[in-house]
Amino acid sequence: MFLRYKWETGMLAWAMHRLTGVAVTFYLFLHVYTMTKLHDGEAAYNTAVSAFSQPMWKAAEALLFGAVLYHAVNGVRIVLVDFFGAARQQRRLFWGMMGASAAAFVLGSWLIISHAVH
Amino acid sequence: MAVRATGNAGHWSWYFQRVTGIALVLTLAAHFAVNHFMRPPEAGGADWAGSLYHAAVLRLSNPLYKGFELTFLMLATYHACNGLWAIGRDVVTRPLARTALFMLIVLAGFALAVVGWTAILPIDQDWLARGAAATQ
Amino acid sequence: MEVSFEILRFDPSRDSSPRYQTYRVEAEPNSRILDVLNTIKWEQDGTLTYRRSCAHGVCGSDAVVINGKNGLACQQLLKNYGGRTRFRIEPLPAFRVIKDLVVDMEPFFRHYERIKPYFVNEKPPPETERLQDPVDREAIDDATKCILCGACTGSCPSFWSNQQYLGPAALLKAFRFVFDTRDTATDERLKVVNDQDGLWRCHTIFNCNACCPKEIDITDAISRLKVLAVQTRL
Ligand code: SF4
Ligand code: SF4
Ligand code: FES
Repeated sequence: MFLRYKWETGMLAWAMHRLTGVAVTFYLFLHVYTMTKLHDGEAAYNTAVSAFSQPMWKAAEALLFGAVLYHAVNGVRIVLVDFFGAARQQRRLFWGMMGASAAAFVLGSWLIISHAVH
Repeated sequence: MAVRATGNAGHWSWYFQRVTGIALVLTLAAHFAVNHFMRPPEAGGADWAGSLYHAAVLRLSNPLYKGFELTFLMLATYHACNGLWAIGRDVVTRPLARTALFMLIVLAGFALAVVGWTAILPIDQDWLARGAAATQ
Repeated sequence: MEVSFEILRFDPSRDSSPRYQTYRVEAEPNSRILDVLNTIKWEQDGTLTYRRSCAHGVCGSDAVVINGKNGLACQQLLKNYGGRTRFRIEPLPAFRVIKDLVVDMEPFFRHYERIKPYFVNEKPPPETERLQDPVDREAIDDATKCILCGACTGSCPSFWSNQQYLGPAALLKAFRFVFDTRDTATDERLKVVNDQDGLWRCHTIFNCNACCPKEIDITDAISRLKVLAVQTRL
């Protein structure tokens, strides 16, 4: 059904919300695990964390940033629909917000990949 | 209309997902800004050359910031587990399987919270010396 | 113009699995999907089975999937599909197929009955009607237009994966009576909809809104019920 039914804004937004939600949950577990490395001393922690500065991890970080950004922005859209009667405007709301966050995503990933952010 | 009381199944899960969601947008922004764009205030001038370990310990030994991070952790844990539970109820319909899944998610959430607290709670300034000692 | 209709056919008493069968039909851009189905049935293949009654968007019996989206066969014109001449027609998703495009709507109406889809007011009725302020009535105006076609519930991803879910049509009807100022069975209805397999399975996916032939803002109605259900518990 998911394959054959027409994908419109709402279903797309929902599916991506789920996908990014699960992805960020995985990261949360990983991130908390990394923090336990603080107990193993300076060198162990630094090694664990600097592993993330390799190019592949930088790209993953940019993706993570995108996932979190999307989840947050779409989450706000859901709240607007639920509490502020924005159901009729949901399409415009979605694409408008996506436009704005695309700009934020480009800026953010550039900062991450160019190592200005660590 | 004229309402008194309603059923009691699932409304908190829905409501707090939204409350924690909005709270997370704000706390995550702060978490991100502090950890990636700011030096720990104790670190001093631009020529500071402390390691990531130094930065993390300095930040987390501030009781206020530690409290903030622990709050953030709890919010994120709740929101993540509650989200998984929402997906679970979409897919799993048999009552027994649902209960099992619920317990599994709660367990995972508790494990995450415990690991996070034990990692962060004991950190103070002494760790700067201790961390270096552990390395030698 | 000539159009081709790819129709998902299935006769459980004879076929082991559904299959697509293609028909070529001469039709006008202003023809309705239902007209084409009729032409096929009357002129080409009498075994094709579908449900329809009023043919004017009133009875709600001919909701099907048209090119991947639910709609009423008697309401959608060929020209509504951007000049396409190839159409794919399938039975409503998530329901058991009885034959070809006819599905078993029993689960749909079972859910519908659970929310008490009728007016309740214990007070003895006045001499004339129970009057209602036009402003109060406006709040439920949209919701009263539902024709129970099932397009919405059959389009809902939550319902696809969990058929215990009440579904948008039942929730909309609950909204219609809960927000009716003359009705008094609010508590009972909220007890039914405030359930793991009620309101909270709606994740504002909007498939229901996108396909409702009466263009009802179903998702908004469901959101209002959600907020009310929480408010009464705060
Ligand atoms: S709400 Fe719309 S789509 Fe759903 S049953 Fe009623 S008329 Fe059909
Ligand atoms: S808005 Fe709710 S009821 Fe409508 S399709 Fe989406 S999940 Fe289903
Ligand atoms: S046949 Fe009655 S609604 Fe289409």
